Amino acid sequence: MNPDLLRGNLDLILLTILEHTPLYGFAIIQEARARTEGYFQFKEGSLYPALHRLEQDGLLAAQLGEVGRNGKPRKYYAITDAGRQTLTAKRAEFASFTGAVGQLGRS
Amino acid sequence: MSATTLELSPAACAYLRRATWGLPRERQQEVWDELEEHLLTRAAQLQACGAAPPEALARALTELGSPARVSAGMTGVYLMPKLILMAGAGALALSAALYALAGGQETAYLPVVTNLPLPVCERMEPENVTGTIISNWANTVCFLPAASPKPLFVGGLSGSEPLVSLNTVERMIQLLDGKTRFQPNGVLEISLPASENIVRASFRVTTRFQGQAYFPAQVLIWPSSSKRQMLSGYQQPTLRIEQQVFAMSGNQGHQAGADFYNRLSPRLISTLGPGAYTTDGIIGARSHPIQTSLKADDVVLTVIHSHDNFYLTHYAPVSSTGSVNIRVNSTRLQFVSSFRQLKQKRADGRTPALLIRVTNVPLNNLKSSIFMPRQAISDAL
Repeated sequence: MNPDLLRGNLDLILLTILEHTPLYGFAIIQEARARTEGYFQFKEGSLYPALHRLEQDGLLAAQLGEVGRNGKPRKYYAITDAGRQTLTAKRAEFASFTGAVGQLGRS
Repeated sequence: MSATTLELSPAACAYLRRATWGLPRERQQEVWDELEEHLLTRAAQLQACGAAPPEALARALTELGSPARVSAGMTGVYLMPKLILMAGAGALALSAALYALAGGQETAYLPVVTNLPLPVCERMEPENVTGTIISNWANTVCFLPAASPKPLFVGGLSGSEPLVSLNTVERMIQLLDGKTRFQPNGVLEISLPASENIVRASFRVTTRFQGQAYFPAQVLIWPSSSKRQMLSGYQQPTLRIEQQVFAMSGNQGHQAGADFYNRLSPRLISTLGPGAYTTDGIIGARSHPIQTSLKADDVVLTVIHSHDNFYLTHYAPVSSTGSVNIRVNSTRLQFVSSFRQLKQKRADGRTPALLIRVTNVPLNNLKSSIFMPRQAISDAL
């Protein structure tokens, strides 16, 4: 897929993945691949800054989970109420955009 | 950074060090742990698929991408908003602390800040100070007065004092395999291993702001070091130290670069002749456009003798056409080819002036960068 599309919609994708279940970074990548049969290939170096930004913006909240392979608790990201509101808005925005592009093709 | 890093290869540790470079201390460990966990988990997954441990870790590192990308993203999250907030309050001009890839080489963008409150420095006993003591060194106490009639800010001939935080200096020195020691009296000691000797330098803290100590950006330059240091660029100076590249930039654009160079003079002049000294660079009243064969954005240092061993300096960038606008107070200049000639009186009354290219040349051998312009004399416009 065009990496620009992924980059431009990264917040929407991450909030969607975390909509129902808190996950840690590596698991988010696995989940994205699994749900889309490998369509989404995250640039992993971009994922973590995006997660931290969403956390700073209050759209995600961090929770410490089980001990990971480095002997320290894994950092799980959970969507917040503000994150859900943003997700709803971004979904509507994305639907409007793709709808408009579709209309262009039909006209 | 953490006890578990012993399980990581040196390459992985270097990766994590670079990826967390520039982050506030309280965030560094958090990001380090998160990336470390990612690397180890991915490496374990690859091993389960048959990869040998070293190969698995190497591949996990590759997949994680450039540490520059991670660092750029993380500092963008944690440093930029803080600095912007401070700048918005009128306290700071700032630069982003970003990592980026430049020409295939990693560049560390150093956060250089300006306009921090300046302390007052007096010879007095520390117990008599009413305010916050910044440093106490060589019988001089520098402090931020508790009740100042107006805010004190760094001011200079051409703008503000570019400062770097202790955290920035420590990270930079760490990347160069050197050591820092910040003493309670406000003195920072830097030691760097070099091929021929160990560079040692001491700097006094300039000021403190929101719990962080700040030093002049010139602490990053060691012109007498055997380490190969090279500057480039005027508006956003970049410093190359052997294989490491550090770029300084600020939201004041031109000003940040000009201020940096102007305050570099004392350190550079001292390398040109025994006992030679100067103050910050000046911007004189007379304008001398000269033509050179240098490339755009190179920086030219003009040196003129004042009295005794005291010299005046001026910095100017090279334009896209190779011209340089020298601003000094002398009306008639005679360009000379050696530092020694600056003190020689001329029968024609012209002031001897020395031109030195200070960018894209080794700083520890500036004498080799002296050049003559196309016209050996200049009369001010």
